[in-house]
Parts: sequence; C-alpha cells; structure tokens
Amino acid sequence: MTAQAGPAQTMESSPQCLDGMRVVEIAAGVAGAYCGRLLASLGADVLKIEPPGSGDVTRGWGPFAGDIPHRERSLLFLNLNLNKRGITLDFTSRTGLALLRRITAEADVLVIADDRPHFPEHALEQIRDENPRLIVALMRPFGLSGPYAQYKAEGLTLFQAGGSGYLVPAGPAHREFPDGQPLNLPGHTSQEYCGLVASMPILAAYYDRDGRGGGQLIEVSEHEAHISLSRHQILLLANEGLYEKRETYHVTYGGRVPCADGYVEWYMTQDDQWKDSMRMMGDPEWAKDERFRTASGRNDCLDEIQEHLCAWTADKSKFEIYRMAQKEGVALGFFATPAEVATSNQEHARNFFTSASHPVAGAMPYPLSSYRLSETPLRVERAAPTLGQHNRQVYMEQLGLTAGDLKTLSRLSVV
Amino acid sequence: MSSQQVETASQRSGTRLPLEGVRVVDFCWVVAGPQMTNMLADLGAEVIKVESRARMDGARLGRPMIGDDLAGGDAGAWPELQPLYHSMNRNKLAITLDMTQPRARDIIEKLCSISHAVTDNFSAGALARLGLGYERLREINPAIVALSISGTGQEGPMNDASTYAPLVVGLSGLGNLMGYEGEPPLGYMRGAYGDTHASLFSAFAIMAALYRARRTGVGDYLDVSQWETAVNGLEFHFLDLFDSGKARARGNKHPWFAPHGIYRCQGEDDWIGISCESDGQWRAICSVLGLKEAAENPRYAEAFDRLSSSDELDALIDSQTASWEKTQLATELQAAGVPAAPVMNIKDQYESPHFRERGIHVEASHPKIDYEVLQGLPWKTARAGRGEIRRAAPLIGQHNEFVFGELLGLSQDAIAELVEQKVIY
Repeated sequence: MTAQAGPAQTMESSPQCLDGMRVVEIAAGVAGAYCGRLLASLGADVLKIEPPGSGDVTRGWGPFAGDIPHRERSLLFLNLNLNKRGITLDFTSRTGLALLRRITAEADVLVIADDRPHFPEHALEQIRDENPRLIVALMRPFGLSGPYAQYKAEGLTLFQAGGSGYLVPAGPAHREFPDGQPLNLPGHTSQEYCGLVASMPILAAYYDRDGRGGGQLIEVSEHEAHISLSRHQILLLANEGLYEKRETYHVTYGGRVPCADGYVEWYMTQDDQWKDSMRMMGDPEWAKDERFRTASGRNDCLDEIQEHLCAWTADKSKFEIYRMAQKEGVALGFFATPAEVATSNQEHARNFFTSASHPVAGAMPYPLSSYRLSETPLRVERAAPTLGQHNRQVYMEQLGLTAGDLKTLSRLSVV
Repeated sequence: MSSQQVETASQRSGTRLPLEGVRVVDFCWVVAGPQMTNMLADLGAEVIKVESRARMDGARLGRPMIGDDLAGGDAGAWPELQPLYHSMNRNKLAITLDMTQPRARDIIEKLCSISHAVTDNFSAGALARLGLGYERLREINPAIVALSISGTGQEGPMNDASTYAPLVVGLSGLGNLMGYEGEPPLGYMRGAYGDTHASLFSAFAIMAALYRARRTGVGDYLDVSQWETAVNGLEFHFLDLFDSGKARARGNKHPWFAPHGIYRCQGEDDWIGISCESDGQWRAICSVLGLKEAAENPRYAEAFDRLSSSDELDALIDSQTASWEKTQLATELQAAGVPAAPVMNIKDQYESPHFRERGIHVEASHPKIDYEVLQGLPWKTARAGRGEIRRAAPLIGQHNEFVFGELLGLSQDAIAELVEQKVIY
C-alpha cells in the first residue's frame, strides 16, 4: 500500500482513536455525511467526494451563515462536514470512475449514501475486487430489498414510517390537541440518527478486519434505524397483543407541567418517585387521600392529580422547581430553550461548543461530540472543506497527476 | 419471519461475528446502558452483566408479560418475564454480585484483569465510589477501556443532576422544539429518544476506543453525557441560533423546503408524511393529488416561494389527502418520485410487508416463555447477516458458575462460601 497524504494540518496532541482510518464518503444529503462526521470526529481521515459544479446538495440548503445564501455558508453543510477533506469528482464518467477506483484502492472504508440512480452498479464490484480489504457501507432509505426498496425518503418520512412518529405527541399532550397531526423530530435530527446507526457496523467491521484481513459489505436501512425508537411498543404488540395508540400511550400524571415561566418535565410513575415528589411539595393535605396511596389508585385520578401539580408549579419558575427537585432527589427536569442550553454553565465547563474557523463563513462555535476521552481528547482539526479544496492535494500529491492533467479533467467537468 | 434458535451461532460453520473475543464487564442497567452493550453483544462481544438481587436492574421490574401481577412485578417477583429486559440483554451472560461487599470488588478486579472493557450508567462517580474508578481499573489492566454514561457528564457544576431520559430530552432543548406551530411546546413524551441516542453514541465511541486499545495496548476512559447526546441530535439548531440569534419554530415544517408535513388520510387516525425537495416533486404532488391549478400557479413554482406560502400549500394538500388511503397514496406519490410514506402506527409497523420480508423481527426462544419476538439489528452484513440472537436474555445469575468457576478459577467450595455470605447475591 502506498503512503497517504494524510490530513493537511496535524496538530500536536495524542493520536485519536481512529487515526489512520481512511474513509471515502459519497453522500448526498444528511445521513451519510453525518456518519462521516462521526468517524472524522474520532480522527479518521474522511475524504468527501462532491459533484463538480454545484457540490453537495446540502450546500444549497439554508439557513446560511450571516443570512447570505452561498454554497460555502450553509450551516447544515458546515456542521455535517467538520474535520473532513473534500474533492470534486464526477464518477459517472469513465475517467471519473477510474479516478474513484484509484482513491478507493487506498481506503479502508467507503460510505455510499447516495440514491442517485446513476451510481454504476458494476463499479462497486470492481472497487471491492480491487481492494478486498475495503469496508463498504451502503445506506439506503428502506434497504436494498423488500417492497419499499426503491422508495425515496427524507427525515420526515423516515421518522413517520419508522413507527415512533405516530406516537408523538401522546397521552396528555395528544388530549390537548386531539385533531393534531403526528409531529416530526425537528430539523435533520432523524437523518443524523441514521448516520449514527450506520457508524456502528462500520466500526465493528473495521475492528474485525485487522484480525481477519477482509473487507465487508454492509447494508444499512435508514428506516430500520428508526425502529429501535419504538422497540418497547413493538415488543408489547408482538408478544402480548398490547397495541399502544396516541390516545392511550404514556397517559400518566406529571410529564410536561407548565410553571410560571415555562415547563418542567416531571417523572413520578414509581412509588418512591411519588413519595419524593410529595415530600418536595411539603407533603400537601390532598396527597394524603387514601385513593392516592397506590400507583393503581393514582392512575384512576390522573386529571385530579395533574390539577394539583399545576396549581403548585403555577407561581414558581422552572429553575426554582428544578433546584428544589435536585435537592430532594425528585426526577424532574425543565424544558430548556436552545439558548439556555447554549449558555449553560454545565456545557461551558465541558467545552461542549468548540470554535472552528472557515475561510468564507468565518469562525463559529460547533457542538463537539457528546463524549470525552481521557487519553485521546477530541479536537476540531479543520472546518468543513470549501468546494474542491483538496483537489490538488489528492489528485496531484496523492495520485500523482500533473497540473496539466488536472486542468484537462476540469475542462471535461470530471473534476 | 425468520425463526432462530438459541446458540445457533456456534453451530453455524464459517460465521464469525466482528467483536468475538472482546470481553465486557457490564454494570449497565435500566435502558441507556444495556441498549449499548446489547449492540456490542449482538456484534459478538462476550458481555458479562453484573447484577444483584440486592438492587435489581430496573428493567427486571414491572408488569410481567404473563399474568397481571403489577404490584409483585414492581417488587421484583417476576424478573424473568420482562420483554424489554429480554430484548436489551439477549446474547449477554449474567452474574450476581452485591457490589457493596468488599469481596465482590476483589472478584470484579480479577475479572477486569482479563477483560477489554468496563461499562456503567450509574450516576456520576458511582463506580469510583465503589473503588472501581478508571485510575484503579488502569492499574489492574492498562489496556482497559472504561465507559460511563451519566445524565449530564462526570464533571461540571451539574454533574450530580439526577436524570431520566425524558428529563434529558427536556434539558436538551428538544422538548422545547416539539409542538405545533405557534403553540406551546409539548415535549417529546417518551424516553426512547433520550436513552437510544445515548446508547448509540456510546457504542460508537467504545468501539473506536477498543480499536485503539488493541493497536496500542493503551486503554481510555469515556465520559458520556446523556444530555449532550440529545443536544447532538439538534446541533444544526444551535448553529442557527448562534448565527441568527433565533431558535427555529416548532411544527412539522422544514427550514428550507415546502410543502413538508403530515396530512390526514382516510380512516380514524391515519396520516401520510410528504416532503417536497424540488420543483419537479412539487409538480408530481400536484399531479397525483389532482391540484391542477396549484401546479400552474406561478406563486408556487419555485422553492423559495413555496416556503413562504407553506400554510396555503399545507391546506391545499390536506383538502385532497383526506379522501385517500394512506398506503395507496404513498405508493402513487413514490411512483411519481416524491418522498412520501404512510405514518405507520405500531401495528402497521409490525405487520408491514416490508419489515416482514426483511426479517427485522425475529423469533427467539427463552426458557421461561417458550419463544418470543425480538428486534434484530437495523443493518445486514454480507457475512453475518443481521447478527443473531444466539442466546436468550440471561436468567438472574445464570452464568455464575461459568464466570466464577471457569473464567476466574474459583473452586466450588469458594463459590458456595461466597453464596453463603451473600457476596454472590
């Protein structure tokens, strides 16, 4: 295997967990790019391949940094492609495909999350033949088989077809809006979730490969990725015939309870949680009613209990209630606004938001990964690549093309 | 539906799971932790779950799947009849040890010296208080990878916050973003998101650290904040907030495309999700739904204009979808190239011909209930398929003899004495 042109800038610190892992990412949209972002966050060298000209589709999706529409300013693209290198390549042409094969010949992982029908089928076989150690992850909305195999999807349709969307909102929230439609997860959360799921078999195969020597073909269904979110409900139906609907699901007291300046989320389904909660409230008279002694008795008086809870929270702020709850060991949180999360002391203490500087969009804070490693601290190596930023590095330094070759490829719209 | 028998993996020649040979000492309980080690076990790791009758795993409590003894179930009378426990702990081994006893710690230290990873989802610092913090584990085994999931992380001013998944969802900002447009937040009324996100991030991170540990012989400690895993799903919203100073509105609209929503179909509570990412898809939606005028209306021709007219478009679509059966409409829209899918309720999902054909739900046997249906992994590999259920969820203490006797070399007498003293309990 030939030497690699590794990450462009290296910083002085301990090697990260996936240092040395070479990933090639062909991903239109969110799910595959998020998978690449995760691998890059732990030190993998992720090379993103974008179509020449317009670049990845998410470059055109707003909102944009500074509210200026520009292919280098899409907040989504900037976030999804942190720490990656990027080149342009039209692999649907013969020349382009030959270049792709040279790039994948030296890679460990190829992520393909691009349902554009023109990705040549035979190309994949060639690529795998030429690099038998390559791990190929094919991400498809509904997998490669089954009646929906050809279906298109994006976040909303995946989440709703995955079963968990139907159950939102449920219980008391559904009763407030009985005619309301099911709700989606905000933004791109749902597709990012698919990328997270896909990273799992990739890493397992990578771990395995050293011992065994061979690559793998992995098929990820983004639809199936979602069903773990409704695992419990499926098991209830499959094994006990219990069918959870929006009206019946999660009907309990507590949950989201309004207070003076927002909402708290209050959890008290178990006996000891109920007792802790009542102690926090000063053991009120109403709670001493015989009907409230057992969980099943309380379940018969949901609305009545809810009214008492709301009356108690009505004149208190969410932070005030939260502090009391923490003191008494009550399972209660509050609805933070995104602004409150962003300015939280906890996240500042953990350096959750870390700045990276981009040549066009400028410096901005990005959320770091949600884990800290004591021996191999996470770091932001670089902001998302500008379109074709690493073309020279990859085509000339790595593959040995000349400046003239690159010019010709560019004229032919291959690069 | 494919039927799988317990222990088939060892019988099948040529099947080797990717994490075979990795041993995990697993203190995880309830949901977020066990779901993580579930993935490692499904991928072939030997996960040894440490439990105790003194304080049972919360997932062993609750209403049993046979009978209706709720009070008994809550008190721990039916630890082997909990479907969620079965689902999250299949493929694992289980031992019982009362960790409050000093001799239990000695046994665990010995087990850690021959293992690759130690996992827990206790509140912050709990394992260290048992004398099993990373500093100690590293002394015993320099290559060990330890991972702790906690509500808000091991450090920081809120590290002692007591949290459950639904509370984490509230704290992350997600609760605030869920709701109908222009209405107060409703929250995401369930724990699934808060727990599952934490499980997946943790499984991802620990596999990467295990890889490095094997290559370098040096372990690592991973401190996972469940709160941050939930925030991570919203990262784009935070960038938007930092840039524009505004948080996005609630509701089903997309920040960039319209129409994008969930529309009522025939039936009592039946819906379809439709999104439109291009001008061509917009024309296709109009054609399938018979919205001829809208298709020709120049005000809707371009993406930006559709976005600013999204309320009108939603009303137009709703007026048509109500007379359609959801699956039929999704089929028609897909045939026209539009990302559309029926909103699948739990029954739709379980009975879906697509899921059936792909075999995502598998039958597995269990000693106490004959057989049951469990969920397979959401991916397939060319070699090992979906991974498999090669062993039912363990009965409490089922593998005490194997682990204490065979793995750690304790004599029958020594084990009996530990049982007598309720160290093994």
